[in-house]
Amino acid sequence: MRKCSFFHGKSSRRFYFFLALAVLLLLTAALAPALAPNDPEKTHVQAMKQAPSEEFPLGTDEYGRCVLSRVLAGAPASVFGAIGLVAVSFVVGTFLGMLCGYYEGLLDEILMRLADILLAFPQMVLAIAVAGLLGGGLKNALLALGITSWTVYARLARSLTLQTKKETYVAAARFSGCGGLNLLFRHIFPNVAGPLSVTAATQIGSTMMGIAGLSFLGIGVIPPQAEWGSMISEGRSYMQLAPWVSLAPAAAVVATVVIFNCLGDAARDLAEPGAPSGGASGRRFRLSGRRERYAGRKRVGRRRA
Amino acid sequence: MKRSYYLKAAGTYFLRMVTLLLAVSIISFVLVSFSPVDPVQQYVGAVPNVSMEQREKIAEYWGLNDPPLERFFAWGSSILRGDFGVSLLYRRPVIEIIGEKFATSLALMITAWLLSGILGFALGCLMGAFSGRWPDKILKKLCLTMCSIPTFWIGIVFLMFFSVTLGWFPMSMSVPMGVPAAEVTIWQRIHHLILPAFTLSFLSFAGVALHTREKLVDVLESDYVLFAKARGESGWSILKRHGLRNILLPAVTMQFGSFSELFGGSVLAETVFSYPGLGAAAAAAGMGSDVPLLLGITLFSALFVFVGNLLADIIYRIVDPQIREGRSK
Repeated sequence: MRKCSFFHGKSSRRFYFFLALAVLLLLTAALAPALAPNDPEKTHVQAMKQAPSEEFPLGTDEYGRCVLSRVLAGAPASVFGAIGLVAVSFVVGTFLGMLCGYYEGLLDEILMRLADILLAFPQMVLAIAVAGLLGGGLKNALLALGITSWTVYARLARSLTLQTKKETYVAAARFSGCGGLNLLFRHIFPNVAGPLSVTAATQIGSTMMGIAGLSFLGIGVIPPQAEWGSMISEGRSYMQLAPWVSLAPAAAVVATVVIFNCLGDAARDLAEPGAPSGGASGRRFRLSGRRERYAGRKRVGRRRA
Repeated sequence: MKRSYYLKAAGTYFLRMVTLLLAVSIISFVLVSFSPVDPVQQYVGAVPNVSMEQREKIAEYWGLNDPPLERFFAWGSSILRGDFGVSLLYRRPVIEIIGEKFATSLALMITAWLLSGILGFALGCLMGAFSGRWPDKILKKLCLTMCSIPTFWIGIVFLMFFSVTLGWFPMSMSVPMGVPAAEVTIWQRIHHLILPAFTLSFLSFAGVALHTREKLVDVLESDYVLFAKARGESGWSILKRHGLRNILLPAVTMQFGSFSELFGGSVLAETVFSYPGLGAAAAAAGMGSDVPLLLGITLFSALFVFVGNLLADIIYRIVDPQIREGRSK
């Protein structure tokens, strides 16, 4: 029954559509050097701020660099940077959150307090502070965003684990001699992984915007390396003369974020058929900590027979 | 009974604030210790001919050679006395800069906050009321797209369209250029505020609308609304008596909880419009490795977000009858 709806429902068609688009995007990013018509860092003195032509499909910037090639060259930093960051914070956050939920006690108290504190910073300000103190570059920008991003998964994983821990099948597993980390990973993890991966999918888009925002401010990727945010920033000073220079990377950002936001939205529809859709902006209902921490979710944690 | 409850709540909040600020300052301090930025070099800047001995003296004077714990307490005690140090970029006390810039930012943030809150809520109600029909479908797609447009990009687009092409709004800054501060009228200030405020509210507007829609759809699918329909209540009366009452409270608290995003967004919006607020100062401090200012702004932003969450919590306690009754028993 379930399998049936998984492949033929309307929401699953939407999911596979966006999944295909996302895969296409990943392939484009991976093959960027081969796809680029020109060298993204080569300057053409005779062809500065040129309108789109046959040689330069999306025109050239103020140094006569091919905009299309630069947009393609900037794809890996944005796409793989965002996905990598989400993946790492997903793994770290889930692991820590599950440990907290499973063992509770002192570790739980310390880690959750830390998460509360990190959530008290505006992410952008913390990222600027980290980048300003440790220096620019993509690596530090990702680190700056990563400092706070794991807390999302840790909190969710913790509350899901607290919920799942009380299920009868966990007690059954424990009676049959399974305990400790083995129980945590073989019996609890498969049952909390669903909502967590949906959350991860919805976070990719906003992470991408975070990276682009930091680069726009000049503390992400260091020039002359191409990145969408910094390209928009470079192009805005001569936008009236050559609008394509900042239009192209902006279109790339919006298209990519739309694809990943819709993918996250569709994944949620698929995973929780009854849940209302929409609101993939990564905006969560958050109070000063306590209330959300102990608010369990009802419909998760059932083992699917 | 009641009084002790309020006292206890106030005590808890105060304790939470103190621990928060303490933790925030420890984290900031650790970050600074790991920083490759050499404070002496940063201070000396472009001044030529500073000998090694002079550098040593500065380091000695600042106590840079002391153990970290001692430095932390020295720094912490001056913070407690209200001395945040001197900004390297502006060459003025940090606390002065923060106060001045925050006053400018506050006008922008409040305007954007009200805009996104009220308009987003109204649009969300509209979508929820028409849920599943074409106005809802179109608006939802629109909102999902709006969610995906970076703040800085929409700022540039607004600037190009409304300021450059149409000439309706000024290009940048918060006051007209070349006019003495005393002669700037409130209208001129508002005129300069409109575009940045719309830019800042753009992203959260879509978020609020989608969130409100979700909540309203939830409420409209509930059993008590079904019963209200069965009693023959009209659509508008259901929306007014059952819908709004149930979604208003989470919407208000969420709006107060969004101070963090508001502050983060103001960094980008202010940079695009060269609006001389705290966000733009934060970006400049980050770019210029102005550590004292950066630390000051980081601490201040944590306090700002804390106040937002605190207000959300207090409003929840006052307005929500369930919590009010449950706690005071």
